[in-house]
Amino acid sequence: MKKYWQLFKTWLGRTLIYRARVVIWFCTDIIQFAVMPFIWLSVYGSRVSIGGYSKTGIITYYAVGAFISTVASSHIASIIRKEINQGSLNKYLVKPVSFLFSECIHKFSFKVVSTLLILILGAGVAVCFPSLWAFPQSPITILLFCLSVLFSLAIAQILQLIIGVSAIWLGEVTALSQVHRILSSVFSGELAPLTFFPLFFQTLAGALPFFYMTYFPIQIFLEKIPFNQIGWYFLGALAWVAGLGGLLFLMWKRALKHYDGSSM
Amino acid sequence: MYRVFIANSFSYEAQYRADTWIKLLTNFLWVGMLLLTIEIVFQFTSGLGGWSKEQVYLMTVFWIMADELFVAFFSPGLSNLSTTISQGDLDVFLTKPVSALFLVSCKLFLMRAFYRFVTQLLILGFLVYQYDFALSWWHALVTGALLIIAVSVDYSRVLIANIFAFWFERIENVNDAIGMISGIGRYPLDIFPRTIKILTFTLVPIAFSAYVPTATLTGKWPWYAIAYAFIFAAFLFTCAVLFWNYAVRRYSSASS
Repeated sequence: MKKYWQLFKTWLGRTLIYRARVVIWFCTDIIQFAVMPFIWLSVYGSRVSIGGYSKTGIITYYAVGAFISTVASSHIASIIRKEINQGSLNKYLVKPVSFLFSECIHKFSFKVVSTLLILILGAGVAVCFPSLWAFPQSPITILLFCLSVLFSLAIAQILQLIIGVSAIWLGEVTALSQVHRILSSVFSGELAPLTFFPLFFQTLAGALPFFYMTYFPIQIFLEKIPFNQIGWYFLGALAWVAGLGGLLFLMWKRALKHYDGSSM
Repeated sequence: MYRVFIANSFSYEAQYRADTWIKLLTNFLWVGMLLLTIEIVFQFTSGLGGWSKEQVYLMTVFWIMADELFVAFFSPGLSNLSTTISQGDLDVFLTKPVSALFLVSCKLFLMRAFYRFVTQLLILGFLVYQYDFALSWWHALVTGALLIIAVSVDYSRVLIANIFAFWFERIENVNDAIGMISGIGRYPLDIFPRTIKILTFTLVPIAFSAYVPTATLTGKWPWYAIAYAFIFAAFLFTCAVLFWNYAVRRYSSASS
């Protein structure tokens, strides 16, 4: 693990050199969530609740969504595609480190900084506008929320790795990334709480991994999932992590056999 | 020269036909997602910031059209600008006997974005036919001109943001941020607090892609507001070009 710790420190140093990039990604990740509350507050008018969400509830929904997006979202597929297409994967294959794990470390070094930024921003907003937020009543909820964010991070990361590795066969994966981005926006509850969508849509969303990326952690934070059902949801998240992780493992093994080291 | 650029771009996309078709289909999914957002919001209300559902549809279509025109003509070149600067590759452009800014901005034309623009034009025609917006020829003409103004504002905004790469180097992700911020412009800006609304017409000019053309087409904007759009676009374009000229002077050609 020592070599990965060293990699982490190197990447962290690099992240801190290009601070402007960190701030730009940070803003990119939270903008969508900052806009949606304005739209919904305009819709509320004099109403107290819409679809089971009070005004405070909907603001908290998007604020927690912004937190999850900053902490758990991943844009790693484009980096992997570049490494594969330009042939720079070669240098990783002759080193005693796992390429995929190194890429994850790369991402985590960035996440450490962006998580700090969102925590500072969140704390500032919470102190200045305490009435806008609905905080969980129980500390157990906070713990479960943190666990669900870890699952969210794992699923987001594995999906990005799968898309990135696909570049070995497809060459160009921008379109695939776009499809992933669109499906994720709709089915993870980024656009709006899934209860605002038609019933068949909610059922479909519940059967997809995107559900566990944003909607599930937010529901835990808002204490909208009955305590006795949370375990089942975590099992669902674990099944997706295991399933997608297995798929990635198989893809990577085949990809290494297929990869010829020449760049495009 | 521009004809050669377009011919090259067409031949480039012809080599990757499958990718072009996949991206076109993906675009339909994306447009579907935008329209779905409107449907979800309007199931709880009949108006958003004083705009009806049909008008918000119109706004979204205008926003996409302005974006596609910008992407077709300028985005492929401009989005690589910060990488070109940080890798020291700008020399190639500076040593040619043509304006470096013209080469950087227009060397690539994205054909598929133009196809998408045509698709949006058809959707716009359908919307105008389907809903009674009580349009006049005068408003339609001015709206067409405002669409070009919107592309000009988009161009100036993206150019200014990318020029910062002369100082901050690796900031190619600024284009992703601009894309996200620009996305705010497809919503009725009246839902935002007054300060944010003023910012969208000045420092963060995202109101010109959708709000201004739609407000003009539906007769919500007076003549002086339309005049402001033209003057502001000219002002911003001048600022962008002056900023480029200033920044190029400090280019050292050393890569990072």
